[in-house]
Formats: sequence, C-alpha cells, structure tokens
Amino acid sequence: MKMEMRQRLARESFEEKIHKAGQLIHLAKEFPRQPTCVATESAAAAKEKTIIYAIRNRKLLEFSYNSRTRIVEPQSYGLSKKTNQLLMRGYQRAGGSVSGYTRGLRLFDVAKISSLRQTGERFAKAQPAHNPNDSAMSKVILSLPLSHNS
Amino acid sequence: MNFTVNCINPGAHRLWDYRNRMPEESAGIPLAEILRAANELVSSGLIKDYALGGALAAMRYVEPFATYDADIFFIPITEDISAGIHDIYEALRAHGCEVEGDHLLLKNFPVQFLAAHGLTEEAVQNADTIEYQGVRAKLFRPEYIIAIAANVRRAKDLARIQLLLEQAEIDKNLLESILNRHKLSLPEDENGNAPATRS
Repeated sequence: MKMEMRQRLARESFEEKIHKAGQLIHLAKEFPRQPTCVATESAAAAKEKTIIYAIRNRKLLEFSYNSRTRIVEPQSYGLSKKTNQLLMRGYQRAGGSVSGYTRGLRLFDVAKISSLRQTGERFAKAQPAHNPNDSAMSKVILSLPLSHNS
Repeated sequence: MNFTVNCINPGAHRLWDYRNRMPEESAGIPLAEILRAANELVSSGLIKDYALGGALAAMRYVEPFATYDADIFFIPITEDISAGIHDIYEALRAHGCEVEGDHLLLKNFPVQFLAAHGLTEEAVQNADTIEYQGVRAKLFRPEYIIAIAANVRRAKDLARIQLLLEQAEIDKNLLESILNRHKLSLPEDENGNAPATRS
C-alpha cells in the first residue's frame, strides 16, 4: 500500500511534485527543532567556513585534535571514501600527535576537530606531496592547487 | 590561482541552514524563475548551455521530497570559467538574484550554478527538454542523475539512486553505457548484489 502510494506520487506531474516539495520545505521550516541540533549545525557550519577560508587564503589553522593542539597548513577538504564524513588533509607543522610524529601530511576527521581558529599566519604553497584528487576522499570539496601552479 | 572547485559559489554547497532562508509567506520553489534566468544566460551568450540537475531534476522521475537548493549545471563559453563569472553574476543580479556571502538566492531560494565538465557536461548535452509553467528548460535524464550520484556517493546520493531505480523508468542500456564509459559502478545492496531496477 505504502509502495503503491509512493509510486502514485512519483507519477504525478513535475509541477505538482515541485509544489509538494515546496510544502515539505515549509513543513520542515515550521517543524519544531531541537535546540541542540541547531547549536551542532551552527558549530559545524562555522568550522566548515573557517577551513574553506583558510584553504582559499592559505592561512594556518590551530585546533585541538585527540586532546593535542596542532598547527596545520590545510591542503584539501572533502568527504571520506570510507565513512562519507568530512575530512581535512593538512600538513601538520607543529603541535602534539598520538603517533609521536609531529610533522607531516595527515588526515583529520573534521567532527573531531575542536577549538578551531586561524593563527593569522599564511603559508606559501601546497606541500610537494599534495594531491588535489585526494585518494582518501570520494569528493574533494576544495583543494589547494599544486605548488608549481601557485 | 585555480582552486579545485567546480562551482561559481562554492560556499553554497553544504551546511547553510536553508530552512531559515525560505520566505515567510510562501515556501514555494521558484523553479520557473530559476529556469528563466538560466535561459537568459544562454540567449545572452554568457553560457553555452545548461540543464537542471540534482534533487530538483530527480524529482521529475520520483516522488516529491524536500530540497533546499537548485543545481544548474552549465557549459561555459570558454574553458577558463573564471573569465565569464563576473558577467554571469551581473546578469543573474539583473534577474533578481541576490548574492549573500557565497550564496546566490533567487526569491530567497538558494541556487547553485555549477560548471559542467566530464560526466556532468555529457549530462547537459544529453538532457531532456521540458516545459515547466510555460518555460522551456533542459533537465538531466534519470540515467545521468544515477551515474552522477554513483560518482559522488554521499549518503543522500545513494538514497537517490535507490529511489530512482525503484520509481523511475530507466533505460538500462544507456545507464550501463554511461557507467562503463566513466568507470563507475552502482552501490551493491546489503547482500552484495547489484541493485534491482523497477520491473
């Protein structure tokens, strides 16, 4: 029954479906939302904005990750092939590390990044090993150009 | 400097809370106005061609669902897409589009103009022509929507593939040919089988 109803909806005219989609959007807007979700979404949006700005303007980022402060040159931002979650590829210049290696290109799970801020300092160019088509990402949202192009 | 971004307004792609942008009096999707604006870009020679893609295009073939932006894929006049962006923005502004931060809004509804290349360019070239509220427009075929979703593979793309396979009439030969040419595959179901199409 439910499937039949959905198939019937799918057969409606395109104009009718767009009208209904508008009503769904209105419903979504009116529907009470949990304040915690709003806060989480705002924080995620702010984090994304900071990362995108830093990549576009080659600004160093400082943040806490696995309870350690890191100073990172962001290289790419995109979706993980494995988990479909947001990732940032960055060159860690300084700060702590669980592995003990404090410098090098590494992947950061954006959800685990906290206390994110720009240091105000710029870095010159992408790392030589930077790959704009990051193999860990199913979709690269934004990436630095290769260093020989910059 | 060339960033790896395929969108004129790259910030408009994700977490913006579109729900709060909808006008109070009506939550309608101004699709006719969006298509009219895209048609004018073609007629004024600012873009070669375009087609509606994304969720709104998918909705032609499946049940309605909520979506918070419109994706217009366009073929630029020249390979250097940055060359014409200013003129495109100005033309859209003249058509009533507002630029707010990284977002283009038409009647308060977010619109993304994305430069098509590769698979999406092919999708524009092979798009269906439709008429929507008296406006002639081009819209992606379902086979291309599936292939693009199989390429991007976010959770919502996988859900879109499943919905299209269940509800749309798919030209299986065309879909297979697109997938093969672009070295793509459909996601397998939980049993590791290829997903079933509508019979």
